[in-house]
Amino acid sequence: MKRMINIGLLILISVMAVLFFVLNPEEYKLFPRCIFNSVTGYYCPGCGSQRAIHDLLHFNFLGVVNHNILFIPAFLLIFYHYTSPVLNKIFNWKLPNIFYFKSTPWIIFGIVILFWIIRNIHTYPFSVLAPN
Amino acid sequence: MNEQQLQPQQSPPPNYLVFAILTTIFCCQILGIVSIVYAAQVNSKWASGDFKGAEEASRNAKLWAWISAGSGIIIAIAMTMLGVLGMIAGAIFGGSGW
Repeated sequence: MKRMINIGLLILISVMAVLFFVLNPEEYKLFPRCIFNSVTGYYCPGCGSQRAIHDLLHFNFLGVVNHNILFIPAFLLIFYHYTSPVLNKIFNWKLPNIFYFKSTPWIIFGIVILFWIIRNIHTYPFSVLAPN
Repeated sequence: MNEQQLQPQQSPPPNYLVFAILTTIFCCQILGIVSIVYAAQVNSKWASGDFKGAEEASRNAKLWAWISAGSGIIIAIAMTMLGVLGMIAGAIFGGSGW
C-alpha cells in the first residue's frame, strides 16, 4: 500500500514537474492563483513559488530570487536534511541533524513572518522581495 | 504499548519540519506556520525531558501539516477549475464584441 502511494506520488510529482517546465505560470491561467493574495491583495510568503519552480527547472536562479527568495534557503536546508545522513554514513562524518535543534523551528518561524511583512512594504529596498 | 510510552526513546519523535516548510512555501502559510510552531514544541519539549509532550506535539505537527497540504490541494484544484472555466468563457464570449 505504502509502495503504491509512493509510486503514485512520484508519478504526480513528475507530471507536475513537466507541466511547470513546459508552461510558464505567468502566461497561463491554468495555474491557481494564491488565495491569500486574491482575497487580501497582499503577498504571502509563498507568493511567486509557482513561477520560482518554473525558473528553477530552467536553472534561472536570478528568476528564482526575483520571484521568491525564500526558495533558495528552503531548498538548501531540505537538501542538507536528506543528504547529511548519507554523507555521515559514507565518510563517517558527524554532520548534525539541524532540524532537531531546539531553536531551528523558531528561527524558520521568525524568518517566514518577517519575510511576510517585509515583502509587502512598497518602498525600496523592501519592494525587491515582492514577487515580480 | 503503555511501557513504551513511559520509557524515554533514543531519538525525538518526528517534528515534520520539512513538510511544514514545504506547505508554508507552496501554499498555505497560515496552516503551515501552525505546523512549524508544533515542530518547535517537539524539539523544546524533547530537550527539556518532556517526552510525552514531545509525542503530543509531534502528532499535532503531523495533523496540521496534513490539514495544510490537504486544503492547499483542494484550493489549488478549485482555483485551477475556475481558471479553466474562465478560459473557456473567455474563448466563447470574449472578443466577440457582445
